[in-house]
Formats: sequence, structure tokens, C-alpha cells
Amino acid sequence: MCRHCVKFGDGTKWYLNPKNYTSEIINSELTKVKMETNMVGQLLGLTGTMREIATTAKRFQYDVGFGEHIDDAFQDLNDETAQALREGFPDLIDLAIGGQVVPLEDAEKIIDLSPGDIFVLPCLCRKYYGGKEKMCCMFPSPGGDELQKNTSWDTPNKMVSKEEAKEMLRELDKEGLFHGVFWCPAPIPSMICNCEYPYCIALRARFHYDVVDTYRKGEYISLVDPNKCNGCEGAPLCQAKCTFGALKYSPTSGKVNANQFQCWGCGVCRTACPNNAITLIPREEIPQLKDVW
Amino acid sequence: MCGEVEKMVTIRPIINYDKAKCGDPSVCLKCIRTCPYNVLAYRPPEPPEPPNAPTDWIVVPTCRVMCTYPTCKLCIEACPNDALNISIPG
Repeated sequence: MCRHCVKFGDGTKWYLNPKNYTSEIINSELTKVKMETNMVGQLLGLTGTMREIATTAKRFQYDVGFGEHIDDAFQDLNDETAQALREGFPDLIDLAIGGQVVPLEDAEKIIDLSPGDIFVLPCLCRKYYGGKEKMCCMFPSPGGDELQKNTSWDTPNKMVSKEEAKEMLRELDKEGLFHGVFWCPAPIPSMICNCEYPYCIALRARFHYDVVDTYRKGEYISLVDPNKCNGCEGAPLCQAKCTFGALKYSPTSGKVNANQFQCWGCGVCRTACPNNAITLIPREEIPQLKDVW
Repeated sequence: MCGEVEKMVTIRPIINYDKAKCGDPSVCLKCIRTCPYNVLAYRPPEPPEPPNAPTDWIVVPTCRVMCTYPTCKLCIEACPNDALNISIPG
């Protein structure tokens, strides 16, 4: 169980707790915390109230502090200031926005838990980096409803039913995009992202600046069944889809091997495998990995 | 254990952007789309007040640890208006 599940899960995972999808939670004081008062927030250029970030396009849409200010915040990646910033991060990020990888089935469960339809916007990160417009940022209600009210300019947007949203997720999964659920703030599962490197800003912060809580590993680990894996004749399809470099192909055995410390449990390899050789197992069942996020 | 190599890199090229020379980056996007590391991004200088759409855009360097200048000069070469220049600090 990750720290969010312990704190907000009530015995289940934080993003599967129905309590976190209620209007009461969204309207609670938690969403009104001012980021300006937070030193780390200032450094990273995260401003505005949490409610604005969560529900309006007003600031968050274009003031993506993370991409621009992280260089200034982490002047030296290895010094004490950087370390202090990273340690102060869990508290900050709970009030702001951060994500965790979820496999397809959990992403579908999130869609099911949403009290209403799902609001879809084009991916913000891809737009920011000049990428192709991709309608894949999904906002479960009630947060999505509020967001729709506030997205009043020409941004392409649509409201889709739960079934359509799940179908979209399955298609994106086949493309090789992994899913993540973002809190904004914790414990509200505000958004389902379908991410890839190098567009994802949160993933870049994690990869290049080692800020763990911007994007955390999922609650699962992939396991390759060597009896079923045939290495796809030297060009493993799973390996090509792995964003995290967890899968390695061995020419000697002709099979794929999963490094469980590098695996984020997104399950994209499982979808890609033509032999159904990959399964996901809960991270908490492995003592060595249960606290690795 | 991701990005171990990048993590050790602390030299960040300084990317200077000349808005006056550039004009409107949102209709060009050549530098942004050329950058193989997605260091360059674009956004409005100030977030617009809803319901207004943004009218102006600037190019912004992000995550400069990923920039490999002077090996890669693709963005400088791609810019038709000579609006970018990059230097190594120190």
C-alpha cells in the first residue's frame, strides 16, 4: 500500500475509494489551499488555488510551472538544496498535482466509479511541446463537470459516456500509452492521463530530476512466464512498448526478462504480448518492492 | 533507477529566445517540433482570462538538462528568423 492508500484508501487503493469521488471532498477546505504560501510551490512556479488548478483552465492550462521552473529550482541536481526540495515534495505535491501509474483494469474501475460522464480534453503536455493533438486527458466527474463549465474558449472538448471512455482507454493501451491517475489535490482522482515519454511533464520531472512524487510507480509488477515467452523471434513486442526500460531481451535464452525494480506496473507489455506470457502481480506481495515507488 | 545518466548532468545550456525576431511561434513551431529532446515548448506569456482564447505565444526552454548543445543545433538551424541562440554557461 502506498502512502496515499494508507491515508485516503479506507482499506482499498486511494483511487478506488468511492468516498474520493464525492462533491463533498471536492468542495472541502482541502481544495482551497493557496499554493503561494508554500515555499516549494513558489520555487517551482506553481501558483493559484488548488481549486483553480483542479477545475479551471485559467492558470493550469498554460502556466505549466513544472516544465519551465524545475531547472531553476534544481540548480544542482545532487546538492543539499535539491535533496531538501525532494524531501519537501510529498507534502507539497499532495496539495498540488501528481500521479500514479495504473494498469488498464484499474483505469476502467476509475471510470466506473465516476458518478457521471467523463470529460475529455486534448493532452496538455503534448500541446505544450508542439505534439499532435490527442484527445486523451479524461476527467471523471464531479471534477470534470466543473472543468467543462470553465473551459469556455475554443479548446476542443467532449463529454463521453463511461463505455466510450473505456473503449478509448483500451485503444490507447494498444497504442502503447500507459495510464496514470492524477490527484489534484490528493485524494481526488481528478484525471486519467495516457502518457508517453518525452511529452509527459510529470514523467520528465521524475526521470531527469528524481522528483519521485510527481509520478509514482503503480501498485503492480509485471511477471514474465518463461514457459510462454518465445521472445517474438528476437524482436519482442513488449520491450518496444516499455517506457521504463524494465524489459530486457536475452539472445541466449531467447526470452524476455523483466527487471522488477524498473517496472512501473503499467501493464502495456501485457497488452502487447501475443502469447499472453505477461501477468501483473500486486506490488505489496513482494516484500522487497512493497515500499518502492 | 530511471534517468541515472541524465541525473548526473548539471551543465545546462542557456537558451536565449528573441520574441521580437520570432514573431508568432504558434504558426511556425519549427524549432519546437525539430528539437529531438522536447526541450522547447510554447505557451502564452500570460494565461488568458476565460472565456478569452490566448492571442500571443512565446517559446520557452524546459528541462534544459536534456539539451545536448553544441552537438545538436537543430533548433537554431530550423529557425527561419534567427530567434534562438544557445550558449554553455561558464
